[in-house]
Amino acid sequence: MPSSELEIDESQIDFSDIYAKYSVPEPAGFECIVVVDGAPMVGADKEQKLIDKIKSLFKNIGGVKDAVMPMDEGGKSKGYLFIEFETPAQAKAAISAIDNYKFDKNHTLSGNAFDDIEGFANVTETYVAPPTEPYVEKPHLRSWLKDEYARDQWVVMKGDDTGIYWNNKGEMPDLVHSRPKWSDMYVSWSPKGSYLTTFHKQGVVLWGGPEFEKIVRFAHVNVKLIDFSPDEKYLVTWSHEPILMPNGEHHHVIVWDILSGRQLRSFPVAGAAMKAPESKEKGPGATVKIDWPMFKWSHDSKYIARMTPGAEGAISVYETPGMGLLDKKSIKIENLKSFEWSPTENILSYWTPEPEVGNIPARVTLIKLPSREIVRTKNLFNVVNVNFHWQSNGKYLLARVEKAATKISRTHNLEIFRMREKDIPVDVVELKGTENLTNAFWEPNGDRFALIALEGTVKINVHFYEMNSAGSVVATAASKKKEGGSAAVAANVGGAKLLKSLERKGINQVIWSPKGRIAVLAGVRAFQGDIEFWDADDMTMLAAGEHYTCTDVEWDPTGRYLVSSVSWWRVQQDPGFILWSCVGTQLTKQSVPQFKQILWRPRPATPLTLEEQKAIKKNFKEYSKEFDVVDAKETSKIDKAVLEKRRALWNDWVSYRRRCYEDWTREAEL
Amino acid sequence: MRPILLHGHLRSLTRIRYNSDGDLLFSASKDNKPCVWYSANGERLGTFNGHNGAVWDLDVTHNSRYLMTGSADNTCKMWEVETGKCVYTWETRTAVRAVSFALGDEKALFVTDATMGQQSTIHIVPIEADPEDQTSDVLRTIVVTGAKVTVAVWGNLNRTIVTGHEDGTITEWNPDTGAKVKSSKNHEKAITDIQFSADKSHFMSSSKDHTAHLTDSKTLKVMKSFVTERPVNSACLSPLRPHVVLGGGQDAMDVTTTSLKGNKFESRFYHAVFEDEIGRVKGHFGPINTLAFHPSGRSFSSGGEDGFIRVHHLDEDYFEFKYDEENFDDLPQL
Amino acid sequence: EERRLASERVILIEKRREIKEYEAAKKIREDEIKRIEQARKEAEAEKVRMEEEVRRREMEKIAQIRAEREREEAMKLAERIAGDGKNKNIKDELMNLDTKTLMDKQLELLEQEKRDLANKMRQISKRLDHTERAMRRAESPKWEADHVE
Repeated sequence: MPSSELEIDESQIDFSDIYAKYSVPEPAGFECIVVVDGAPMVGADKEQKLIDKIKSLFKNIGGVKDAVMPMDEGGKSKGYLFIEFETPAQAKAAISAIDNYKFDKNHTLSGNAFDDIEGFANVTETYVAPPTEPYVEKPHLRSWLKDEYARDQWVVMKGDDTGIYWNNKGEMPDLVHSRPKWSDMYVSWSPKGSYLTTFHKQGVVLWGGPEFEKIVRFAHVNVKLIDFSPDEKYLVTWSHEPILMPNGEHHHVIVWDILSGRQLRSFPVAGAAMKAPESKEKGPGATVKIDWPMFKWSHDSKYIARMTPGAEGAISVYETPGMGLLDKKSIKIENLKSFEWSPTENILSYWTPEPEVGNIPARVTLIKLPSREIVRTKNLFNVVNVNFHWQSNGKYLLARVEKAATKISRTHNLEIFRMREKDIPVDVVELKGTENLTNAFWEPNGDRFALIALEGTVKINVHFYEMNSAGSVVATAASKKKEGGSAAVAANVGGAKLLKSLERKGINQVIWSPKGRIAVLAGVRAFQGDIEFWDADDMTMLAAGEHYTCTDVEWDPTGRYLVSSVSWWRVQQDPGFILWSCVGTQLTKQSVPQFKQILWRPRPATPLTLEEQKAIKKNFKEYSKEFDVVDAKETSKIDKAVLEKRRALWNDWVSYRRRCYEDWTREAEL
Repeated sequence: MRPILLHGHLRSLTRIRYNSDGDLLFSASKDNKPCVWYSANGERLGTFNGHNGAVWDLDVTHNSRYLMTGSADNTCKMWEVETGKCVYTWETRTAVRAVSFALGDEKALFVTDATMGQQSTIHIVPIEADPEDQTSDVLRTIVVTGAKVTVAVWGNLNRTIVTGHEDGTITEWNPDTGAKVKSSKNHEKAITDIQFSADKSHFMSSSKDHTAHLTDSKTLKVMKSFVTERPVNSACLSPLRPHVVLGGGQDAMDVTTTSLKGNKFESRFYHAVFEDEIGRVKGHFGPINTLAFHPSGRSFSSGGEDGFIRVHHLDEDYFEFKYDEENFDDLPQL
Repeated sequence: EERRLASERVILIEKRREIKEYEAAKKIREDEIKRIEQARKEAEAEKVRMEEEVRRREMEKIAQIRAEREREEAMKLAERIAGDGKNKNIKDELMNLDTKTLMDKQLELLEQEKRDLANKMRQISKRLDHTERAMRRAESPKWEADHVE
């Protein structure tokens, strides 16, 4: 889910009832006791001093009742302490605060709940007797990829139930696994589909393997948002509830290592995002908007970057797994507005506006990491806003530029960076002066993109463009000439060719098939739910349908199916989903009471080499014949089953009616 | 074919019924004035003026001479169809929810509502050949304990009375002893309509629980279920084809809060045996409250919350439509 | 007596003349009426004729417009059926067809387009599905190896 902005509208999602009803019970026992491990081992002379020092770490949390440091026979401490707090909440806060805390040069503390240690201890005990305990293999996290019918899975939340199913085209899906009350909030998949994430008051849990076993959990009270690294090695979590650190800072974001389950680092959240919990407390109706992901992963999960906007702006890049600041310093960028990673290279794009004083233009910059070499800049004028849209191969960077024509009116144009060509030439596409560009959508792995533009207050235009194959010198020159700004629609400016323009009242999204070529135009959320399937190869419409009050539309990872759904979280009337074929044939419509969410399980990139893939594509005719036979058999089997069922039903009905008829005639005689 | 629109009622329809010949269509509405129409062309024959409250139910004698109506004005009235004159009035303590003539037209029942400390009560009354002789005498009253009665009809050969209840229960009573014979909670929510097949061997029940059932009268066992995503207000059986029609929509209260487009105010046809939906007939601007099939099976009517009655004559295509698995030669003809 | 007779004759003659004059006057009057009537009738007939003429012209004009439009439609239709001008002969041939035949042709064309689209849709989904299945078959052992590692 590479979305740059996740809108969390908490007024729309009411969690309170869920929390009240299904709050997971606190573990019984010593929930007020925290075990601090990793402390220096000291003699009796320093015993009290160390205890006091460690106690002082919790002064911001308060409520320390007692602290005990076990000593061995030799009078040396064992390196751990038991700290008792007045309340479980304080204990929990203390764990978060102390875990991974650098006590001194040689000692990093860890914090655990006493109950957890108990659990671990038990595990250890059974482990020392290996002959009796069979070796438990780690579940095969990728077993689902080997389905013999080449199907895909989805997860569905309805009411309190969460279930994972195989999609069987229009037929009844097969249940893989389901649990009641699996998640207290929503669920989400990791980017390659290995893990299903569930949300709980205490944190998130990742599940995987054929039986969806619990793989790992991350304690982060009231966690609301998460973001996986692209390689599924790391997880970032966010909660509006601050964790009080020993140094008095409030941290909201934690970066975790998934394999070890350990916290790598936590971060405070600067500026606007801090206001989130307060505005929420103002009561219902308060809408919280958070830029999420707040920390952006590089394509190879090597770096994670976040920005500080404004005059003291900077991009801070941290290196995994140590999570140290790259080269120990942030990249200072005065007036930084926003940034994005290239999806295939360690290149960052960012932009800065024109300062109010001084004669400096607005600028889009591309910077390479870790060298910090600036590979391209582009100056722009009268800029109000810039949005970045990277093509999925990193071949193009489309900058959607909003400019001030006058004090109130705006014009839009596109600056398209050709990343693969020498010196990164930039094509400029001008739009009609009256058009307000609202969004842009790249075809995955393709050279085409779609634009949605608002003209006036009601007219909505959808434009399809294609990048000319070579950013020829002529095209670049032409774009230069046009840079002065032309009012008319630029049908063929620079290296982008207008393929088609449509006027569509009810459309606010273009959702490309992950395989490209097919683009779905949809009107979701505030719109009526129009859905159109377009073939971009010849720009013809394949099919038009409707899913009234549709809230979400998602392609399966293979581009064979599309699911449109109405989530009960947003619309209480007729929640459910429709499964469409890739060309817009409605396969099935399911009305499900309290249907909340449906998500296709993502797949990792194919392990086949390019040659292997090419060979398969080349031999289409051969295996297609074979599959045709299988398909025909399957279809006739289904048809036959339906036919037989109907025959049986009809025969039952006939005999029932005969019986009734006999009763009736007998009674009539009486 | 284009439907015929009957617009004579000022408020939402509560019940429509054809007479046994099918030439007349009777309608009751919340506007106090039941009407009678020619079913063939939609011409209004007349109104029955005299009630002071919403009319909940009506029934007509086999010979179409008398009409019985039950109203929220705490009366049940009998009318001469030809003249529109009220020939008798039963005064009751609460609103009259359901009325039904028994086979032979020598008795009738009406059910009074469970309100104001009263319980739902079935009143079985004799019907005199000459209305002049009609008295307030009652053959039997059956006090219904438990959930209130929403619909009531006579069962096969007057041996039973079948009632539908607010909690989704269907109950069978012995009209001679007043005893409860059988009871079955076939629905989750209030029963909105019960309509028998011609031979009374089975009946359709519809409910606010979004379903309609086809039920065997003898056992009260549900044989077929038809599921929608809206409350079902009425369901009827085709006398000719193995089809059922369902009508409904959301509760009147919720109608105003949603736009017209998303609403489903369609009469929905289902195959009675296979339970598949086979077609929809659009038209009403509000929920459909009552449905009736013409005795010939060639047309059906729907009465809506919007105050309209729509008479739909079915196309030839409809009668030609058939599953390969159906063989009508096997079926006994009544 | 003679005088009496003569005077009577005079009177008679007078009378006769009067009658004759009266008759003449009457005839003139009647002729006049007849003439006016005739003229009126003629005027009316003329008017009707004129009106008819106007109507006829209008009809002609409408027919002409209709024919023109039909031809335009036919032209468009012909162009559509003939494709991108590749097949000029077919186009010319089509231009000479009457509207009814053209309409039929259009219907046929629409049907053909529907069939083509359905065909194309089937092809697209089949290619995607079968390629995916072939890929998965090749992938499967690799996922297994992935786990064993």
